[in-house]
Order: sequence, then structure tokens, then C-alpha cells
Amino acid sequence: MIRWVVTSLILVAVAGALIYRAGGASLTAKPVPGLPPARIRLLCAAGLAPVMAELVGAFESNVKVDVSYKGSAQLVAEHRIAQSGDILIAADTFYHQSLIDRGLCSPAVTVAYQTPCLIIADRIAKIESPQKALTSGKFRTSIPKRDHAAIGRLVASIEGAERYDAFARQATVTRETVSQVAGDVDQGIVDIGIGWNTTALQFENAQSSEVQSWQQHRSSIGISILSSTENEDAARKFEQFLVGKVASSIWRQHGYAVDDEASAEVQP
Amino acid sequence: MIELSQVNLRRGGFHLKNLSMKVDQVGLHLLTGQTGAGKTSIVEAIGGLHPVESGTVRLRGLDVTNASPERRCIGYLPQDVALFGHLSVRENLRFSCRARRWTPKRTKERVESLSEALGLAGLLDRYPMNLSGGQQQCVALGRALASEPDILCLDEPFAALDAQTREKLIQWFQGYVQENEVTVLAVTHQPQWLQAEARSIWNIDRQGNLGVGPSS
Amino acid sequence: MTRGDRNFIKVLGAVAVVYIGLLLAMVLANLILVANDSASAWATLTRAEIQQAIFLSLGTSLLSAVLSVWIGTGIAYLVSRQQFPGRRLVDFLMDMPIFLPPLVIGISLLILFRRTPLSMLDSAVGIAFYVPAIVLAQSIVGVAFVYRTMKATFDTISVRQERIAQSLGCSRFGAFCKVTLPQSQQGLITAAAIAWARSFGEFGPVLVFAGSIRGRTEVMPVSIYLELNSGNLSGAVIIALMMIVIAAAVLLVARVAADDRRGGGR
Repeated sequence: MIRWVVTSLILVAVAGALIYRAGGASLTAKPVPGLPPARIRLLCAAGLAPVMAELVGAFESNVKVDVSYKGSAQLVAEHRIAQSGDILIAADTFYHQSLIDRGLCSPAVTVAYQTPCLIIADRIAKIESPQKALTSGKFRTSIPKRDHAAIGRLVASIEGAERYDAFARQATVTRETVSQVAGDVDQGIVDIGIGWNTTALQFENAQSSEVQSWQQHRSSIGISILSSTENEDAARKFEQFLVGKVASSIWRQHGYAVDDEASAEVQP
Repeated sequence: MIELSQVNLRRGGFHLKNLSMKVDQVGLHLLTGQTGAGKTSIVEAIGGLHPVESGTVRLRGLDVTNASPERRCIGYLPQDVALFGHLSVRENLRFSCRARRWTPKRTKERVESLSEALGLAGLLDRYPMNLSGGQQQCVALGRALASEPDILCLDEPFAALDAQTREKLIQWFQGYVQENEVTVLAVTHQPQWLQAEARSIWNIDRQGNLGVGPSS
Repeated sequence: MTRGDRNFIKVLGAVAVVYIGLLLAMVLANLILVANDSASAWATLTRAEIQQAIFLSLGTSLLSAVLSVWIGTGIAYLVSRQQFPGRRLVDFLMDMPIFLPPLVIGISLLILFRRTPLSMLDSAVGIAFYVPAIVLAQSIVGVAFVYRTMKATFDTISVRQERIAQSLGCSRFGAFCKVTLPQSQQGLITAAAIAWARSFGEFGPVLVFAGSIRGRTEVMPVSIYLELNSGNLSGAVIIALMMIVIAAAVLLVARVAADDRRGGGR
């Protein structure tokens, strides 16, 4: 018995050392509100991970931003339970609405836009008619679910639910997130998928192909301050940073569109 | 010393009713009876290994009916010897001395003298699985005697021994009982080995009647 | 051996070869993918948040395994040895973390710690979305696996041995420590290894209850999820390969230790 107690204590000490090595007290200690350096938690759509990592890196401030990445729908559903965190950035401002309605977050401020398009494998030369390509059965397709992914909801509203469901019926696979769709194309599992113009940029073997009739239907990415925030000043600071000129150029490098005022600031 | 009154025992479908016995003399007492009559259940009830349904068990005049085995301070040798397989012979022998918090010096002396007497001196670092049946029984006897209990319950203590060893060991054991004024209740179905020295012989028959009597 | 016997063994052998071949092929496929894109794979491993995730994974899974072993062993002993009303119910409840979908465990923990009076504890200490949430989510499942293994172990060790130890002067606790525990060493090591492996690979509850916070509650399975989500397939795969290597090493050590206990007679 004593041997087991001693072994356990040694193992616990080793575990403690490993956790400390991973990030030390900052991992476990809950931040004291108001004391610098402030720490805020950002709930962010998983599809935005590459651009957000760069944005957070460029945010020069004494505010430390922890980012929690998940699918937008899951983020919102979990926030209704957890009600903790400071900022929400979903893949579409549509997702903010259910939290706004419940008084759980502030109205969304749009920070960037993305456009729906086809994501096609490099080997596919050209798509003549996107709608036909998705239903003809000639290509293997990966379609985001319309009740799970922001892109699915948006394209279904452009094409009509019936037609979108026809895409889904013809699909080789249907997915919950746009990243999974792009991954399918990238890995050669399918030939065509539906995604954002920004998504394909993250993948080596995939490219985006514009769809004329989808061009004017942009999706707006918004930022909301959550009412659970204990650090509103720091959250506002980050919000302002995201619409500023440094952030705008990062958004653009990743293929996102930003509002004209912001872009005007970037131009010399 | 050992007293059962109106004890009821149940074990599976097996039921012993209204058992009463009284052993109040120091020395060797035998419990005999046919296989399956319930001898083992009775000594287990005395040792506290098996709960009684009703009635009282007294040891040294004290009611121990609901006392846990360690409070009864008796040495028990089970029929199946049940040595601790993960412990060496030495560790088996000193088990109760350690449990009763003897000093290491006293424990060591006791283990040495016991192993000498029981012919285990060369086997102290072996493990039970590497011993013969007879050697195992000697270890189990030593383990039961180690912390010098004044009451011993032994279940078929000499059954697995060859005739020569048995005679030697019985002789030593009788000396030990006299010298240390120990009360022993020994279960056996071969009372002829021990009856010369026995103070009383108890018999339990197929119907579960327990009484003092000659061996069957 | 008759011809029928030989065929029986052959069929079993074929099933084993196909299954194990499939497992090895999976690993090999990962290796090929990483080899074709080794530069970006290595770049992933050298990133600070991934290294952090490796240490955090090792630390939390070790802590969870120790916790699981203590709690699971205690409950297993109680249920194996003691008769009490509701014993069967307890035995059933202990399987709950095994049959519940991992996501449900995560959601339930989140509701418990954020939407009930327990949220006051959470607000004071910081459990949900912090490291304690990882350990809690991992050990909830770990305990169930330890319980199953240890209950089976205790059931095979005779109660008589404990009773005899008691007759030799031990308390029940003493008999447990000196007789039962030493005889269950092999089971304990197996249970600890299973609990560790489960904790190490735990994803669903951790994702929901601890959040997938880069660099804070990011354990290796979460890293894989995040890398996949940002299109870094080779990065995700090399983290997976790293998990395989670490787990193989730990489980091998556990197996050697368990065999040691069986062979030595001790």
C-alpha cells in the first residue's frame, strides 16, 4: 500500500511538472479581472483558424487572447450552456442572432466578408455550369450540410432549399464544416465541393472557382462582445483592432474582403 | 475458553441448528465427524470467518459473536492451508507478528524458533507454490502459532503429512500445547492420531447433533 | 490435429492477419503521407503550441490515470466484497461513461459546472475551459475502465485469504493492503495502462468541456482536430503518429511491468 501511495505521489509530481512545462500557472490560474495582463477568451469559427491565428499574433497589446476553435453552430449551442468567454466570431453573423435574441451578446459588428464558390481539385480544368456539375453525377462531390455549416445555409438560400437538397442527394459525402469539404477535395476524395473563396487558399491541392450567381451573396463575419465578459475593455480593444488597418491587410492576405473605409485606410 | 450456545449457522443450503459446546480446559480438544457434517463451519464460526445467524460465541468468557476475526485473537489453520502466495515462507510466518505489531527483534526470534521446530529452516526464502503439500501445512501451522495465541482452531492440521513427519510433529505439538498452556480445538476425521492426548472429543453427526462422545 | 482443427485455426489466423494488417496499413498510410510532405509535418511539430500540447497531454493523462486508479479501485473493491442494497445498480452505473457517447459526457459536465449551483465553484476556481476540465473529463471515463478491470481482478481473488489475514490480526484495511492489493498488482498495472491510454486519446468530452483553446487546453487530440480544421493534414497526421509512438512506449513498459509481476511470484 505504501508503495502504491509513494508511486502515485511521484507520478502526480511528474504530471504536475509536465503540465507546468506546458504553460505553467497561466494554464490553470483563472485570471483576475481588471489586472494586467488581461486575458480574454475568443470563441471563433474553426474555419477562420488560420487567419485568426495571424490576427491574434499581430495584436500588440497587454491583452492575451485565448482562442477556442469549433464549428459556429457548436460554439453558439455550447455558449448557451456555458455562458463564459468574452468575444464571439462566428462564420456568419446569422449565428450571433440566437445569442443576441437571448441577451447573451452585443449586436454583431461586421469585420470581413467571404463569398461562396466551388472548391475544385487542381486536376479539374474548368466547370462550365456549376449547378449541373453538382447534380450530373459526373463528378464526385462533397456538400456542406445546410443546417450545420454557414456556407450550406447561405447557398441553400440562393439556390432554393429543394435544389440544394438535390445537391446533397447526389453528393458522395455531406459534411458539417467547410474545412472538411475542402479537405475532401484536397485529399482527392472528391472532385468538387462547396466552400468559401477563402477556404481553398488554405489547401495545396484545391482551388476556388467562382459561381456568377453566387457572387453578390457575401457572408459577413461579425464580432460580438459576449455578455459573460469580465473584461469588456480588453474585448473592445480587440474588436477595434480587428477593424483597423493592420487587421484589414491580414484579412485580405487570406482572401477575405473588408469594408471600403477600412480598405481606404490601407491604401497609401 | 471456547463456548457456543444455541448457535445457528447457515451456509448455502446447509443449516446447522442449536449448536452448543463448551471447552473450558487448557489442552487439546478434538472435533470429529463425517465429511460434510459441518466441522469446518463450526471452527470458522469460532474464528469469526463465518457469521452466525443467531446464538452466542464466547471466547475467554467474553461475548465475541459480532467481533471481527482480528479481535478474537485466535490462531486459525484452515483446511486448505490458504497460504499467501505472494509472500515467502518467512513473510507468511511473521505475518501475524507484524499485524500485531511485535518488535522486529522478537518477530525474528519467533520465526527462527518456529521454522527450526517445524523443519522449515532451509525453506524460508521459498514461495508456497514451490513447496510440497506437507511443507505447506507446516508453514500454515507455523503461521497460526506465530503470534502466540492462547486459543488455536486447527482444521485437519496433520492430514497432508507423511507418517514419519506426522508423528514427529504431533509429538512436538503436544509438548508445545502443554508448555504454553494453549487451548486447541482440532478438527479431524482421523482422531486416532491425537486421541491419546485429547482432553475431550466432540462429535457432530449427519443430522447436525453436536455432543461429547467417543469417536465414531 | 485433425483436418477440421487445422482449418479452424487457419480461419482464426486469417481473421487475425486481416485485422492486424489493416491496423498496420493505417499507420503505414500515415507514414507515407507524412513522408511526402515531411517539411510541413516537421514544421508543425516544432510549433510552440504543438509542443505545449504534447507536454499538456502527457501531464494531464498521467494525472487522470493516477486519479482513475485510486477512485476506480476503491469502488471496485467495495462492490466486489460488500453486500449492500443497490449494489447491482452501482455496477450498472459504473458502465455509464463507457456506453455514453463522449460528446454527451462533455455536454453534461458543461451543464453541471455552468448551469447549476456548482457554477459558483467553477467561477471561483476556474474548471470549465481550464486544465482541471481536461483532467475531469479524462478521469470520468478512466475510472469506469479501471473499475471494470479491478472488479474482475478482485472477483478472482478469494475473500477467504482476507478473512484469514484478519484472523491473523489484520484489520480489513490491513488485509486489503497486505493480501489483496499485492495479489492484484498485475490487474492494477493493466488498469492503470488502460486508464492512461483512454485519457491520452480522450477527445469528445475534452473538446466540449475544456474547449479547444489553442495553447491553453489544447491536448494532442485537440491539436489534430485544429490542424485538420485549418487544412494542415500532414500536420494532423504527424501528431497522430507521435501519439502512436508515445502510447506504444508507455503500454510496452506497462506490459513488461505486469509480466514481471506474474513471472516473479511476487
